[in-house]
Amino acid sequence: MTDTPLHLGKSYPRRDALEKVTGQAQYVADTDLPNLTHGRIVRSPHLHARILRIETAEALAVPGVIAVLTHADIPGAKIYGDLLPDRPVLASDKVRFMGEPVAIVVAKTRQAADEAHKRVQVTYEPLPAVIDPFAAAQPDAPQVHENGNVLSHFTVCHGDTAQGLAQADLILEETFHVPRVYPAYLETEASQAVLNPNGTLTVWVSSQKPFHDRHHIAAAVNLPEEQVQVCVAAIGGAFGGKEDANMPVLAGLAAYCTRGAVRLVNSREESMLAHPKRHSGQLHYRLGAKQDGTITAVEITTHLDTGAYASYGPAVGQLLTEVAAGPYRIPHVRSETFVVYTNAPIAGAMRGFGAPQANFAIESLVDTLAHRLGLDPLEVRRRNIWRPGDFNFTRVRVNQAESTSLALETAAQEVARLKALPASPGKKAGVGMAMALQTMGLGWGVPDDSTNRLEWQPDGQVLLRIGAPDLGQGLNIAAAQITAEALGVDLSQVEVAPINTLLSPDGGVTCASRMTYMVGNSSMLAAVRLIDMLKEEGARLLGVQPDQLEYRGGQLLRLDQPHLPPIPAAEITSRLAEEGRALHSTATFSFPYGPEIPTDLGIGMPHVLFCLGAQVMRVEVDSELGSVEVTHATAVHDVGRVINRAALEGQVEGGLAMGMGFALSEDMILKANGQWVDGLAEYVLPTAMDIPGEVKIILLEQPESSGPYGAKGIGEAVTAPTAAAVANAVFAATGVRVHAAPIRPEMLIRPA
Amino acid sequence: MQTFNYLRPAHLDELCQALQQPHAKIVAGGTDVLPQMHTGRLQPALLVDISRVSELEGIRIHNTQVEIGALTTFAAIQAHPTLRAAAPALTQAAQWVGAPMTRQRATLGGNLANASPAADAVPPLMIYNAEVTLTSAKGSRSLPLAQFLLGPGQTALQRGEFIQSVRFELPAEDLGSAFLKIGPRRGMTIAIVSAAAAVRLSPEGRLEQVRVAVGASAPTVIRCPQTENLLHGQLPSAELWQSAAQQIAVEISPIDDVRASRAYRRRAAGVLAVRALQAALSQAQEAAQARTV
Repeated sequence: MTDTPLHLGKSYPRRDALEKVTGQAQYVADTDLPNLTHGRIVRSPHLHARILRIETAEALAVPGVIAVLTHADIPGAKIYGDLLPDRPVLASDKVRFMGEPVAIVVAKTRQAADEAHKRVQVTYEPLPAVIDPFAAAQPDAPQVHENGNVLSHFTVCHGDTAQGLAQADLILEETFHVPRVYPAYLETEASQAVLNPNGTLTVWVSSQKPFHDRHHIAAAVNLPEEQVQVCVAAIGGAFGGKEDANMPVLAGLAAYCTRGAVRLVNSREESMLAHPKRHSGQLHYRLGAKQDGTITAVEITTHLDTGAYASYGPAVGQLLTEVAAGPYRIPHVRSETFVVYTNAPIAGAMRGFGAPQANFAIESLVDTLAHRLGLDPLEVRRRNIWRPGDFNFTRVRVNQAESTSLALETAAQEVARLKALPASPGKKAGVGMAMALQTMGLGWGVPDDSTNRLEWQPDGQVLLRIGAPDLGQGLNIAAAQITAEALGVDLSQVEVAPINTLLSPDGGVTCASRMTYMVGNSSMLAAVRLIDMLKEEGARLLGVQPDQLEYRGGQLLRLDQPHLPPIPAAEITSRLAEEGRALHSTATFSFPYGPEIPTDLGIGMPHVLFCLGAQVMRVEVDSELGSVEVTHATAVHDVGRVINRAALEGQVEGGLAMGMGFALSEDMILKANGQWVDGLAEYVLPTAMDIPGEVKIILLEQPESSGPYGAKGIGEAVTAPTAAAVANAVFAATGVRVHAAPIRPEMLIRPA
Repeated sequence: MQTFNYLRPAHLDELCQALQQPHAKIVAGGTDVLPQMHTGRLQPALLVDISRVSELEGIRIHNTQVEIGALTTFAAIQAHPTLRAAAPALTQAAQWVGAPMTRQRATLGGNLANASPAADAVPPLMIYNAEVTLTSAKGSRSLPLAQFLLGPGQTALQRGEFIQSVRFELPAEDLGSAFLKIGPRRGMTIAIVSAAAAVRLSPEGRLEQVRVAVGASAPTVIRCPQTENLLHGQLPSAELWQSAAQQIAVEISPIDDVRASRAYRRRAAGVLAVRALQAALSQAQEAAQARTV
């Protein structure tokens, strides 16, 4: 390793960029199989209903139809789930949300499948439905499942909030509402599968977790996991929404049952109805503070709408519980979360995993506190933020707590700069900021490993096998850079293999801002091993002792005979190939937890690494129309160490845009006609025209000692603070405090 | 999408003939028809693709008469220098249609035939007193826009008829005009409310030829004659604009939907229409100044 990095911090283009923008990338729907047939899912038109009868005869009579599969056709597990098994592969007695799969039609053509799916006659008896988590938690609410609607209930107490509130000069009590956000990846969920002549199943997925998919597919069709091969195709975005095994399981099932090759591709409407959203819900806060702004206590009660099935809801609830008090040293905290079943679309993992919802509430509230006390919001934050050595209320010592004040002070300068800008005519301008707090990794108690395999091939190329997919965020280029750095070779020498569960090591799930950190670390470990092995094999082939060889930049130097030219690695690996052998190493990195982790919290999974930062927004609000334009955004994030600057900046810009949708326009609501907003004409995503003209990115590099070259995660922290920063800017501009996102113009003006 | 028959006539007479067939649906750019077919809302037995009927294309200006063929795209309208100079409200509306890709395909005729209350092209055409020429095998007829648009998705088109062109008189230099729109986002958006206005100034500085049209606030885009009367002959003032905004709110009949509430639309329509009037006025003033210089 040299002092000047070879590759770190450089903006290498991603290798799949050109094929993606020229339309050549092979997504699931582009990967043609011989004798491919097409599936179409029959979905529930009801929020909640009993299934009385499913009649398939008329659908089967449509020319070209091969099969109509229902729950009765499932050879193996009929129920699956990631945290708990509560989700039918195909509904049997009851449907619990609109869009729930009831049957699959398989036909020779897409047209025949479309036609036949309308002819599957399902007789329903509609049941009363509930789509509000607070209402669903009440005892008299319609029951979504048999054992009550409260799926999870977490309470973490620290100190004595009654005492803390008694010490306060001012107590604020506010309730915040957060929207149901759709991940809105460009590529809708798709999967295809083929039953091979030898009875094994091969499934192509657009997924964040191929190994989990394999598990669920194998269980449903009753095959050993080794007989199910999962291949990851190009992925057109995921954001947490593709942690759902529904499509892989249904495609696998359809191929298995029809003994053929079946493709399933969701329409946009199906994607919106039937796949996981960001949890909507309400967050109730009581916060006490002294006149000088010192926060004495906070009590938080959150109700999250997890929809009809658990998905990752309990884990989202846990994470939200942990971060709900923000990056603040508050002596008395009580954070309580109810994760509640409703008949709404399933909510699960989505970028931020509970943190954006909590961030919107706590960062809005801290601003309100400053306003009520007549203090500068920056000053109130200064008074309360974590300091080095602080523990959070889950009794975890905050890593690099100094990043919090560094981010705050950097943001403060941006606030001052943006406040100086004059408002456009007819507009009210305002600047607001919010701190970012996001956890990294899966949390204590959850297996959190990354295994990588490195193969030094006879031609000198190094093949890196990662077991969790690049979703479009740039994982593969970052992993290649770290590997090339660790080996001291040119970047072009490192290739990242596509993922295939037969050949790739299990890398877990691409999620939780963990990939650069985990894959980077395991790549470095594997690289060190590979170098040792190269030296050993080199010594054997050259007939010298390993300590007579030095490895440098992909070559072996003869220390015993320094006048000899260096020996390229390819010379060793090609000679090994002649012997029928290969040079490869495998290494596993496990997320590090110290012995001091509190294990008695009752939430099971405190996180120990945090991504810290702050965002500043300047808005202009139309005085008469209430419309909000975000004119400037500054994102300040501690990333530990920049690996690929362009990819990182892309993450920040994309995450911020996603946060802007949460702030200003996105909410999947039930319309007056009883239908969900299920198309992109009514579900309003921000476009390039809505993104601020100036997006300034300030990356702080406070090395994380356990990270690869000091790097840590960034994928989620960039989305968490945006909505609160916008809301605070809107307050600064208009004096109107919004308690609900998205902020709609009519909240900001008096009605006519 | 289900199966359908498809015809692609190359000339007007072939088009007339194709439309003799029952259940024919015309498609031009496809930006409205294809999404509706995709969702199943529209299931035509016969799709008549008019995109090759070149007689329907183009912007022709004879003396002061403008004729825009039904097949003219919004990209072409947006780029037309004469329209930009003399009928800027139409140019501004064209810029609001969808995204650049949409504007390369979407046609003026399609925007009218789709008869959305939020159609971007309609408010400016209404203030320019445009007429629509409808043609069939039996001949042609002309209708004022207000008589052509009957309700959401409903037009006066008879079986066998198609929109041939839109005609209006090129506004005089001293008639200022403007179009404004607000939607849930800043581009590629359906209007929450839109407004177009035209006005000229008398030598005494009074408002003349006041025309106001509001979109997405009634079953069709509507002109607001009472507001126009209220403003006619008046000297512009803050009080006048305020009463105009109030009058607009009375003249429209907006609905609640996912984009906005009825109450918000009432308020926003007045604000937007007044802003369009003010923009038109400052243009008229510039024209007046240019004349005196």
